[in-house]
Amino acid sequence: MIERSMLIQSSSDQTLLARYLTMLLRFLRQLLGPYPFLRHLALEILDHSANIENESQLLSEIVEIKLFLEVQEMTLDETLTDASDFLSEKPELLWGIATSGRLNGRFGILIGDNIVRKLTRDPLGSIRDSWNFMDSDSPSSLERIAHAYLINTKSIPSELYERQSLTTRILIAFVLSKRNYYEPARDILESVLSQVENEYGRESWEYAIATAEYLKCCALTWDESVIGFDSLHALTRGIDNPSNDGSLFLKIALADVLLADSRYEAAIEVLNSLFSVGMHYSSTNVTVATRLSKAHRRLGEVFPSRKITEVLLRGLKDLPHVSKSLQLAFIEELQCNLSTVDIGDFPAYQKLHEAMARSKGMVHPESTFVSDQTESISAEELETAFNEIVSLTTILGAISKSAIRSAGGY
Amino acid sequence: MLIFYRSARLQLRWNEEGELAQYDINEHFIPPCVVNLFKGNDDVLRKNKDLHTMVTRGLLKTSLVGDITYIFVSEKLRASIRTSTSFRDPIVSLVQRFGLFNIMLEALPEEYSIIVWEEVQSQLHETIELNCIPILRVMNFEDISRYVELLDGEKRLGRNISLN
Repeated sequence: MIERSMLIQSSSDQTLLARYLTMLLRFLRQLLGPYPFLRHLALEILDHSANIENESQLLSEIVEIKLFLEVQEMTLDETLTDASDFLSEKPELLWGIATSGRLNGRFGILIGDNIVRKLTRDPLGSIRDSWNFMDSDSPSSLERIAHAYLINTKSIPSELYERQSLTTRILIAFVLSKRNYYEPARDILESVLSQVENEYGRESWEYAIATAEYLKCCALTWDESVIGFDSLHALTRGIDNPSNDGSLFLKIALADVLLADSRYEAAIEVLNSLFSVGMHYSSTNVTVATRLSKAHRRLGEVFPSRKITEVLLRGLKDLPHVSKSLQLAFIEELQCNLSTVDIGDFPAYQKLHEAMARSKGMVHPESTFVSDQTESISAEELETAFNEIVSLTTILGAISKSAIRSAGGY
Repeated sequence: MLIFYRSARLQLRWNEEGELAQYDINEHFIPPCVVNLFKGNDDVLRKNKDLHTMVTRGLLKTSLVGDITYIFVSEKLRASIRTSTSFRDPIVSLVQRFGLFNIMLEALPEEYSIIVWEEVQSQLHETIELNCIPILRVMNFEDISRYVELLDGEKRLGRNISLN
């Protein structure tokens, strides 16, 4: 599974403290985005690490976290319009950047990530233009991934990903897709899918995610040759094992593609097949219910029609057991349905509507670990709004019940 | 389960040159019993005798929430851990607590190091938020250096503090 060219690196030459700090700083760096208050601990560790900086691995981790903190500061500083001024005032920031393929790559990804997040204010533009490979003849893999973040043309030079490891190629494709360069992303993924299948197996997460991304790129580039329903089925055939994560994921991705292509009947067929195999996963039930309700709604069904309430009820049952982002996506779908209801029919609706209005702006159905949730609202606000929504699920249950009664029961 | 498995196996990380490389597990920092159990071992709950007995006796329960297997520790087992002599010993207890925390440090994949890094990160998100963020909020450098000193001392004495 692991590519052979990789070397095993031993860290036994480090002291115990340096090793621990290396490990802790790496962890902290990854949490600083969503939890900016951890900055204090990071700075405290940096203060104390001054006298053990002769440890190479720790040193690179230190430079990296400093880099992160500086870039974060530049992004958050609202008075800053052009970060090149900031850099001219703090030339010490630059000393670390070009010293290794890893740091240069990491710096590129850090400043490139802001493009993907589509911030309204973008002080990093001028730095971005001056970013380059350390050694343009043989850029490192991480620099290549960074380059995919920073590239400004749809015609991606094939040198960028050719002869790279499988992981690097796929990650480059993911980044290109994030940057809305679906065509080159699709082409790269198309060329690696069979290799992923060989290396990880058809039922692996890796295969499922690469295929799902490929399907998404095809749908968004309107590649009719691939998104014919039959060829889609061919891609997902043979993975009908309902207890397998990868297969579930792939089927849901397939349904998403069909939904994006406005082929609701076909999407409903796929989604119903997931429901009917006797699913025991709460998260799948909620995911499927959300999409099914959407498909029915787009086909002109109006809540509280029997089909929609039935589907929503299934999702509602598992709602307390799934992740926050999934709950929010489901609630959003519910909101879409409820918005068509005449308030007079359901007394509880008014109450729900108020709470929804309060929590407005917090529904990020696609949020992930490194989401931009914390940008628009604080963690505490999210918590409060979310708790309100969770307590409302009881009311939602009541609404659905009365909805079923008015729909004539079943 | 995902957390334990990931913490006890070789990890891929970006090296100085900006290429992917395998790294040894930081065996010093992960409780040895976790490393021994999960290193190269699949389906540990059924194959390991002790753990299997605990499951059949109802001391451990597994549950599938979403797509992740969770292990629940029964109140009885928790109480017995709390009253055990090693848990009351402040030195052993500090090392143990850090050991548990470190499992998360190792389980979180480095960005862009594996194809599914974003998926694994989002699966670990809630666990990190519930278990690690509160610890990180109150941790300071003194705690860290005390822990490492204790650990270093124990290693030199040849004693291995395990989590039993």
